Amino acid sequence: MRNSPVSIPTLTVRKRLEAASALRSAGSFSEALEMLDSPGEFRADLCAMRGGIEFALGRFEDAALSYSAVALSQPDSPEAHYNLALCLQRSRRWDAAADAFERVLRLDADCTEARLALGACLLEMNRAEDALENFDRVRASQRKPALFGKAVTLQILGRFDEAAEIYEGLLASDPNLEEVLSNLIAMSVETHDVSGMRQHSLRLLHICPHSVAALQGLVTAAFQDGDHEDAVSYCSRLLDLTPDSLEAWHNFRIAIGHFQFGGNKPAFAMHSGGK
Amino acid sequence: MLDSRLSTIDTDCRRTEEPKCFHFDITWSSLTSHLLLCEASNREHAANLRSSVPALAKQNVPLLAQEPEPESNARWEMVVPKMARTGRKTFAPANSPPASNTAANASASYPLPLLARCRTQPFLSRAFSMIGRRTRALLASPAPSVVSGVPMLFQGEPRGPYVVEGSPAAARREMHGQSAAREVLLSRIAKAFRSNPPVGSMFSPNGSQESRSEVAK
Repeated sequence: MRNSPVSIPTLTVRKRLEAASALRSAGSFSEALEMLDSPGEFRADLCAMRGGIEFALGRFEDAALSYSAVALSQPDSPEAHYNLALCLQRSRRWDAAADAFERVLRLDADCTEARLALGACLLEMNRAEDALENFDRVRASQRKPALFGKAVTLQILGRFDEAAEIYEGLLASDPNLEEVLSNLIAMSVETHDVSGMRQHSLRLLHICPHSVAALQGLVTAAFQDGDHEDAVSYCSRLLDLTPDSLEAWHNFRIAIGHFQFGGNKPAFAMHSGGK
Repeated sequence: MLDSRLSTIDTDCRRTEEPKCFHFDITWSSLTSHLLLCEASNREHAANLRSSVPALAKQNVPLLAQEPEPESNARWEMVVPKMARTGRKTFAPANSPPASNTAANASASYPLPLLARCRTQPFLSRAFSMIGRRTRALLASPAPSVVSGVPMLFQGEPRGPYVVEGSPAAARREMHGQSAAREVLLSRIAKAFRSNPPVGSMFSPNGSQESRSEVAK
């Protein structure tokens, strides 16, 4: 009995996993976690399921702890390290997440998701050159997201022409890429390209009527063109979305003043920034 | 809200002011927003579980009833309770004359199950708790003595039922002690495992320290 290969705890863990899985499927995440709660007992499968539920609940740091136990017990499993890395990345622990993604890539060099996520972490860590090298190594089947990452990196590095070329290529294949358009608006601000800013902003506003970036771009373009009526209109819409924005209130007041009383074309020092 | 603010702003408007620039972020969240947890290990585990379920079902019952291993200590000999003896009619009062039914006499010498902990085995615990409740009720009445020298069956420990010689109270204390010690040991093992990666893991000593410190933050 004591040396039996099939023990009662195994049966119990199986039942607990089944019950937790059923509770999770029913949306009862907290109850599922209680079902998996076993202080003093370590089981990789219990930890993995607990991590998955915590991830679904948005408790990424707890999920990282759970998956770190799994990764330690399964050091050769790229999936275990990937899950840990993803939890760390969602916890905004870029350094640890990048390390974990690198471990995944050492175990499975073809894991494109890990490579993309590693590039994103490197960008967050202001390691743009490393990120660029990383995005260049993504295989052809996942070229599109890697190209987006590369364009972002080039934009951060100030290589605007190369970035714009990649962005336009991505928009040619899919015109509804909101993040590409918002980054193009930011790049237009950097390059003082008012017409490009308006064009991209209108395009983004058409896709997403509640886009703050699009309305900000249109307000900026309207001020640059001296079109105070448009500035008032877009500022008003912007304030509906961001009622606490001091810049929006300030610009709305300026635009109202110019629109009601007329005046000189206001100067608008344009600049954008990274995250 | 907009109109009320408008009047205040309008009266304070100074036409010489310049518009303020908005902050335009460069974002790359779409690179990772679609990424999901890899459930491969869970699926693999689930597949293993599915494949092992019939085996578990087949093996579980014989495991409880199988003979103790020859080399095992007699102290840990396992005795399987028989359900038929738990009927109230099989127990005669202490002052009643001996029953002629041999089965009733034999039932008094059977080991009585005593539940130490029922939480870990939902299925078996229900059965054993029912037996235990009935047995305790019978023991509360002037029933034949089963105290000394009768092995007691404990259920709930991960390795299954054990038979402990001695009085029920002493056996219960002993099992509680074992259970508590085991819990403490397991918690220490788990804690040590979390703080010390296994030998041969891909975590370098420095890397694991960094990871742990990062996680601990």
